Amino acid sequence: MDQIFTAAFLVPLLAAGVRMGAPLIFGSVGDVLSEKTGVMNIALEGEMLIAALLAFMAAYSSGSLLLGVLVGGFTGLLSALVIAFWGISRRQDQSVVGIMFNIFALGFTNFLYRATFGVRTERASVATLETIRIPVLADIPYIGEIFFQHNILVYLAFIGAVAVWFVMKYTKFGLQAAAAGENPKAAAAAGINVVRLRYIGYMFSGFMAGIGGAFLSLGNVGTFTENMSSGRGFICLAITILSRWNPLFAVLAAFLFGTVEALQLRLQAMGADLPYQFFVALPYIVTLISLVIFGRNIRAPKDLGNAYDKESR
Amino acid sequence: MERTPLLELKGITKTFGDFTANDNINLKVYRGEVHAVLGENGAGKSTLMNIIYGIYKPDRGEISLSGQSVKIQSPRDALRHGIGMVHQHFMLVGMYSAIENICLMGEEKALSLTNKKKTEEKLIELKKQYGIEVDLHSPVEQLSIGMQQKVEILKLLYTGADVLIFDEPTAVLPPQECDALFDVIKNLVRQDKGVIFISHKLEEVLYISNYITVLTRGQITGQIRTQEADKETIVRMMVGEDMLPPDFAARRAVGTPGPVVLEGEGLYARDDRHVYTLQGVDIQIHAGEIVGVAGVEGNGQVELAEVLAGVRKARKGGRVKIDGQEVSTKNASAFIENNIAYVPADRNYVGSVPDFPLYENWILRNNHPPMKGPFLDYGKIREEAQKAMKSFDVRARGVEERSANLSGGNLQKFILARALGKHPRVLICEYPTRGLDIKATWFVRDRILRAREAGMGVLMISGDFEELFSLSDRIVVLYGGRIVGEVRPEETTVRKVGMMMMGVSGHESN
Amino acid sequence: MKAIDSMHSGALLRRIGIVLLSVLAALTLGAVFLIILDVNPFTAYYYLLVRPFSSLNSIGEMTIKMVPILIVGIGVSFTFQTKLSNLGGEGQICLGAIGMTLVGTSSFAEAAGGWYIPVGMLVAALFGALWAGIAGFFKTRFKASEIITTLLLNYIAVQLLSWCVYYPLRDTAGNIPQSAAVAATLPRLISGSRMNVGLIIALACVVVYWVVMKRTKFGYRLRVLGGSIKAATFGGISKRKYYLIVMMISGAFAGLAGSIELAGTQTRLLEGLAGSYGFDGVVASLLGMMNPLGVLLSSVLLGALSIGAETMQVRTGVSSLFLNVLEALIVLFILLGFSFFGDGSRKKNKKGKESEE
Repeated sequence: MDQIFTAAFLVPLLAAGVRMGAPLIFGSVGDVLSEKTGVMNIALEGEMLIAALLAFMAAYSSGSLLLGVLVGGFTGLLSALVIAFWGISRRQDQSVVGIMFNIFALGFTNFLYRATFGVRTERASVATLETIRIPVLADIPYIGEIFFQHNILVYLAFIGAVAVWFVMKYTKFGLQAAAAGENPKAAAAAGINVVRLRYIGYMFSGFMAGIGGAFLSLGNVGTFTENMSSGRGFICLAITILSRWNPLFAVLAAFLFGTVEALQLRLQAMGADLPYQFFVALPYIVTLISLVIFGRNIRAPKDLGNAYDKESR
Repeated sequence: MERTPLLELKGITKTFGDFTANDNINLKVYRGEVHAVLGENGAGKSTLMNIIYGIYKPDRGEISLSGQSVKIQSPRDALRHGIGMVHQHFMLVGMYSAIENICLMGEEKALSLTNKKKTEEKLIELKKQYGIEVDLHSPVEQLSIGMQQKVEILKLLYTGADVLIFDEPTAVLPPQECDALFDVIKNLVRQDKGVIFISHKLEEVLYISNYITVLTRGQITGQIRTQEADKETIVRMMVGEDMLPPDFAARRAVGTPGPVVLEGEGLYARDDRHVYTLQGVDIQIHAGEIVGVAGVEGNGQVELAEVLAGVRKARKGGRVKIDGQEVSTKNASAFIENNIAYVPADRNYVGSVPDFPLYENWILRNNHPPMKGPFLDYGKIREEAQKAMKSFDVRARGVEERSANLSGGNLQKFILARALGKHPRVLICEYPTRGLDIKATWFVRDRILRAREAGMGVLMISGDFEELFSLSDRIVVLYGGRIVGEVRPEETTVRKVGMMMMGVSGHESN
Repeated sequence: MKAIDSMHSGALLRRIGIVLLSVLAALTLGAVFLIILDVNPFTAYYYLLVRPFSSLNSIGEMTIKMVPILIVGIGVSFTFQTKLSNLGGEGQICLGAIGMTLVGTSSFAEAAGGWYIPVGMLVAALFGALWAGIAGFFKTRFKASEIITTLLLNYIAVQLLSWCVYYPLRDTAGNIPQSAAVAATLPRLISGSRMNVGLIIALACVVVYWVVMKRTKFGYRLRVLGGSIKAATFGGISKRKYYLIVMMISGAFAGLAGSIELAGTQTRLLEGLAGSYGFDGVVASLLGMMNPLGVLLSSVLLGALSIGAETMQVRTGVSSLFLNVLEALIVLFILLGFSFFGDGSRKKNKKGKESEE
């Protein structure tokens, strides 16, 4: 245990926590906005997974990581557009549609990857996104290593979270978005196009999930593995709840879960006495327990998950 | 003096499936005038207003504003054309303040910053201009109903509405706040606005309006200047014949109440938002009496009824006794076991399961439905339902009909038939005739009186003074979750009860 | 599950039409994917759709795939009836399989032989029920979304199973992480085929589901809860109690499915045992619109496709998970079809008529 409470262990751990939390930030911050408008993005997991693969394929064939990331984002966005057609326009149960999309994504990525790259022992890979040291800040002892020596997407995750927070809190759009999720009829009576707003929120969430997916394949490992999102989408949904629909808290929670993940990898590597399965399960256990402990008595957007029908009363 | 009307409807027709909600409606609204649209529940008033406001699309017909024909596709269009509506259920976002609710609207770009300061300044100006006093900063869900209504009006004025539609604005208000509302409306027309005032209450229409349009079953059955109108002509326009309401009050005086059957002691309860809306109520209901409960909506009446019906938990040690025996309010089943019948306010989602056929709804709130061994005896269940529907004149295609397809009156009769079918000890009903047409209303009231005559104790929550005064043996008034007064209808007036509903206790107002 | 409501009633013919068209549309879109990736869709679909029905042997194989899907699907249907979603089939199967292994490799089983099986099934059902009960408890006590908790529990259960086969239940005789074989396997129905009594149990589950939902007070209460929560409260039906019970029932079915997969097919506990049965069950339930016969037919279809998908993977190299794509597309197209042409699309007018003035 002694070796854990040293800077040599903690600083890289926290830095890894930030890095591993980044995709969670993308996923949950987008979902926060979407849920504010009244639509829960159950398909987050699938959107991330498909985006991870397509981003990887784009980067692999073009050699450009930037293109890969963009493809990831737009994959998420388009996926969300399709799901939104079912869930918002056709008013089908959002969770059923989301679950089906996740099943689709699992099969589709597996099929596509095998068809493209075949079954080889050596996986196709690309270089990962390079680390950008923020001048001056990166040199601050400890803090610099934890927060300011990361790839571009990590910084973008933070910037994105703050931007969403700002838009939600200070702009008319933010006010309208929350109204659509709180009381869509009142919002419509105030002249707001609820359906359009929900589309925007949901597609933004898809876009963010797509970037998060791209991060998984291009940010850390430079390769795609089957089912590599492995439940992160669901953890993001939990983060949204834990953050009480506040993007800044979502960053905090994502950092926490990222650190748990980093910790379990390290503990495994250190050859701790506990079986490795315990560590693999740890992030999910922590998520589950924190949902129970911190998820109580929270006030979700009132109309979350309900279909909006203009002519119903 | 042929002026151009501010708003004119020509030949508006709207059907839902094979049901015609509006049939060839023509009407004109002028500046500086209140145009009342009078009609029973279900006559098509709300449909018409929703058409003007762009929520529904008419099948045929034309809307013009100041002589110009316009197409209104959405509330947004309506607002842009200067048409605003105060809905019956206010269209406000509860967690937002008045200012925030108003910031939602307007033509600024979506990503522009909300300018609450500027909005507030303009609102203060409007408040002065129209004499509207309201709290701009608290979340509107914390304001009283009357205040929320004023926020709605301010909201419309802010957007520069010229035509203001009031959809049954007094239905939710106590009498005193009605007066304040009428003052606001008078101010509005004085400042050259046009007002459409929807109501089913004759007196207030005669009082406030300049012109009256009577709507019956989707058609216009009369249009008249208010100064040329009197009660009789308008009633004739509404019902097409001279009909006198039965004298319910005469039946009330008969008989003396029996022992206490249902008793609540120190009842506290929280509403769905976890706010304590019931704050320590003691109440006794005797066999063979009707206890009316009056109060402005949201003052704990519904929670009181729910606690006594066993569907809401009493907190802080409050107790409910049935025939002197304490029953835990955690367990609705025990209340059903003890034969406490309950007719909830929401017929569609509480009193019935909308997607169930009637025969399946027949065994809702029933611990002992007919069984054949371990299985439900649907043959017998259908039979029972059929018989009850016949004796309560429930008009449906049969027991297979889904309850969602029944009209409000028929569904209410069905629910009442089910509640009374088990000869309960106590009948608890919330707003039993809300939204029903006249005949169904009379039917329901007659059955409630018959229940009393059969020796049941009845607790009746109502917002309708006529109902409270003609049926109740005594009326308790709730304010802020407490009983602020108890009166006998023959010894008091609507005004006095109204004062109590505002929190002024019965004695001081004398 | 509002989507499901709109599927619930209406002209049978139109429903069947929509389902068939949806299957066709999904296959067509799937073919497009295959063509883009340079696979001959006719070959792939031949192995996927035609081959499974070509011999008695493969029909037997099909039944052993179908049985877990059907049982899980029945369990899931119970929760869908109350408008809850149990997406934790995978985890509950794992727990059921663990339970069965504990009994089947115990000294009791050695002594009792085949008679351990009913005991093992009970234990498995109990394990599954308790595992699902965690989500049910969190739902009723802490209002935690059962969608998220059941999914998270899947990941945990998979690790739990993995731990079991690596450590406490590992068969020390071999090098592979797996448990010892159970004392006896499920009796076969026909010699020469792996079809076993699991099939009969699964069919019994369908009957139980039908009787409970349609004929009993308990089933009635579940349906009220699904129809309107407030009406349930009004009717004295405790949401807490029935939510918890229905989650546990659902988990018990999945646990049972796990025990049958273990004692009938795998004979040993090993990683990946739950396969995709958990979600296949959800698909079967949705595809069958929670109707007992519908769920049965869907499970037959999915079972056949699973066999076909394996053959397809061997013969054409197309991943067997391509089946997921088709499954999801079929359900999505059905939802879409019903939203346009189902009874739900006309319900709106009825609602408009219900005036609340």
